[in-house]
Amino acid sequence: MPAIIDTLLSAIRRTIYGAPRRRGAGKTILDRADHGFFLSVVMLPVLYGIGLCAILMLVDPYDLRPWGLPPKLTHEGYPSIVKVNLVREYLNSPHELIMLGSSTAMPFKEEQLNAAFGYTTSVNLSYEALMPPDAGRVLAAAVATPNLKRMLIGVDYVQMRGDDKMEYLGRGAVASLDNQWFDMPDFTLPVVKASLNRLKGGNFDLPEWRPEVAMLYDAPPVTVRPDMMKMLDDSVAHPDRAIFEPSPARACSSYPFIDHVLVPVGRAAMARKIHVDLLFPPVPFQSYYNWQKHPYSQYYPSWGTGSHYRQLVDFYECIVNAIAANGLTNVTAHALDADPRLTRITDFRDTIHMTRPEALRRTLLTIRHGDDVVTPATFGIYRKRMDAGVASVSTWRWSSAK
Amino acid sequence: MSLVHPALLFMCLPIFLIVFAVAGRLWGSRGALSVLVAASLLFGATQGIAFLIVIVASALLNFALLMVIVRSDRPQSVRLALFAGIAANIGLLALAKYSVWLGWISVIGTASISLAALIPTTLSFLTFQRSVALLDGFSARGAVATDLQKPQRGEALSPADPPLRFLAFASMFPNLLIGPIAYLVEVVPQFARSSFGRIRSIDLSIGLTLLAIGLVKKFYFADIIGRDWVDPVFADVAIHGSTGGLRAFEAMAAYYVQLYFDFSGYSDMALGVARMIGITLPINFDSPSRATGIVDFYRRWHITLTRVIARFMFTPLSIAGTRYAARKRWRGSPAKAVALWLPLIVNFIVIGLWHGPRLTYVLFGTIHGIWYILETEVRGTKWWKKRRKTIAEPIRMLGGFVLTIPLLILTFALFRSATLVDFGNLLGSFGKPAEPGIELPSTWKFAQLGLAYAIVMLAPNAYEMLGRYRPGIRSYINASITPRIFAFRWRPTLFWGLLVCAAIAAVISKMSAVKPFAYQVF
Repeated sequence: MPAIIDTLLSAIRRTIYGAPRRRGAGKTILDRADHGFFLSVVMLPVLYGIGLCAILMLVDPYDLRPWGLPPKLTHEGYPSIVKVNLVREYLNSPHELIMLGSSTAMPFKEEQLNAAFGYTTSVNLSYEALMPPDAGRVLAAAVATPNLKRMLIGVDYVQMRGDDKMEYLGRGAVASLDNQWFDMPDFTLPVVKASLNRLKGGNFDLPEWRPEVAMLYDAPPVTVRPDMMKMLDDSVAHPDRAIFEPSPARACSSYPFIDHVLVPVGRAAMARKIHVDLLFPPVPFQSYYNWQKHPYSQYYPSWGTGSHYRQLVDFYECIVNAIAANGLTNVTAHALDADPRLTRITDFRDTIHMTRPEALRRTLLTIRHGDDVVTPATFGIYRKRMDAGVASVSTWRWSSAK
Repeated sequence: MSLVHPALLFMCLPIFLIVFAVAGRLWGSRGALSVLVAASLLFGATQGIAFLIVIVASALLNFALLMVIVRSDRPQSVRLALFAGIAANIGLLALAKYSVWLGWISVIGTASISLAALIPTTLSFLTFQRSVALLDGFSARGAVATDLQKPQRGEALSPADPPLRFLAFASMFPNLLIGPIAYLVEVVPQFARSSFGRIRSIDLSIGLTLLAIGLVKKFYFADIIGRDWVDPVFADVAIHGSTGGLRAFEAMAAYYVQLYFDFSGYSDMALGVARMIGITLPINFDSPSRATGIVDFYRRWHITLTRVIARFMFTPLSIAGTRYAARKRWRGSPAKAVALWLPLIVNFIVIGLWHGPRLTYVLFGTIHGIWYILETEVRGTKWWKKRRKTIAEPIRMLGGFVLTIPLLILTFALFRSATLVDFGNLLGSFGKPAEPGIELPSTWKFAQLGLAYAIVMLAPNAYEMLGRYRPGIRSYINASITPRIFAFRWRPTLFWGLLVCAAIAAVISKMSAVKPFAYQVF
């Protein structure tokens, strides 16, 4: 036994410390094979990589190369990480309506958009944390989409950012537009599997993606989440006093969204006779108390002093005024956030994301009918409705028995 | 495209290796060399047509001037060609890189801004490599002329060899973008070797191992440390002017290893890819995190830049300074000041400036220069020479290490900061409480950073592990201080094959998101 252990230890030492070969080594088949195996073993992952690469080069699922199979996308939706990589592919194909916004705009399904506006080729490209730099790039490219008639753009507080920061998905979307043939964001096993489906003649799709996509639409309402309801309850019951305090004025020119996104995109859309709807997404009025009490957000950490929701309303006023000042007659702003029909907390999966299909349909019809359109002339009314809406929540208390 | 793109590794590289081997077999070394040149130009074209035009034009100009240098009998022509070549190279680099500082000069400024916009890829490495080739030609005319012309055994002399060999050397794709900066006399003789043009299994094994090590360094350490520890903190400081004290400290400590893994990872990959075709490039990193002083550090960090600057800038300046001091009959400190200190400071400021037009780089170079002077002076004193004999070597090394690494971490944080104000704000964040809402990194992330430090401190570097197979050309001999228990030695056996196989398989899952190398912008 000790002899075996000694031999074993000696073999390990030789293997990892490269001790000189023992006398007689290389004579047995095993010894010879040991040396011949290095390349054989290392070539396995190399060949695997070559295989993945070959499939992707053949299919070109993200439309990055001049070659590849024609696109065949599913209408069931894609996970965000895949969708942002498909931006170029979507924008190169004819679409009558394109929706782009942050997470608040993500739950709108293509069939809902088609049904509400009477189109057949709508697409929702929204992804989490859309920020001004990536919004500008994607929308500028979107305007050139063949057959485009209408664009819906979600504008929330993240668009108030004054810097050039982009989040992971935003960078992915921009990269999708900039990528060259040798860039391979598609070099992942799920994308290769979906490409194999496409190679077999099916859609570029994967069954594993369905539950991930479904989570967006089928999430339970926030009212069944005690932690969130307790937080909202506390925020309303013990509000931060600053919620109605005036906030320091911020110059409209300090919002890059207006000069670098809204105006150029609006003008380009006008030249191509495309209608643009800007959506101020509905948010339960209770959430504004929460923003005030817990102001930190990784996407917008720069709330100034004073009332936060009023800072958002001030931003919206800059947008509405910019539309008028630049003569963007093709751009309409929809103040959905002041509409009591759309801000019911039971329609939201958390403090800001509306997910109930019925509420989403109602929202789209409101946009279609122009019920909540806001202009410089009506902005005062909108501001009062917001103030009244927020003030009305002060007596609200959540009870699961409700 | 860079060496970490899956399209390069799993499509272009295999195709290149096959065509290279076939050309080598059918048409000998010239055929293989032609394939190498063509592949390198195609690789250059992926950086943009402007980049390709500039590198080809520059290579042709450098070749023409090199021929004048090595073949002309008139010393004046030789000198003129040398100065013209270096001026053209440095001028091109300055135009493409320092537009921020040149912008105010009317014509030059416009040209500079246009060139910088057209060529976002760094020209620093290839410019230095080509300038050094001219200097090599000047200092070793006969050897360089022979290297460029000498036919492979069994082949006849051909006028096509010199331009082909120079083009292959000047634009070889593994080290075209981020080095290592090789000397002409190191690489070109390898083109004339009888084995050139054949792919040997041992070269492929060594190359794949170095490539795997570099890929793991890049994807599993540099990118993750940068994403989790460094980038958010430096961005916070740049935007908000401060961050939490603990975060600032963590980011500084993390950046030092991130940069090491990032840059040394690329160097490993470059050496690996070159080795696959039988070319051995110079080693660029030799466990710099185990340096026991700044002098030791620069024998281990970005070695190929240090040796170029030392050989072609410090040495001539120092000789000139020594002569000047002798002429003036200066002794002691004044003589040292012109013969040693001033050349050292200039040397380090140039190293700093080489990275780009930023005051932080200038200050980084100046601090390292002063540190270098102080260290050499202290080490030269009688007190130290007497004292060092009384201290055991391990304790001396530990002391040097404890003094050196924190200072390096601090100065590299300066190097990473976009402005001096940002660096001041980063230092000013020490002692500040954590910002609300920012989560502390998880235990796993701490473990990852700890592992990164453990690797750079204790594990053998790639060149120690593969030492038996001469994976790279050593410029400096540094004694290994790897603990014996970790002194692993690679051999092309099944065990090591399994490790390399696991490394490549693990990296494949990360390759969809390619982040540029830190040194791609320098």
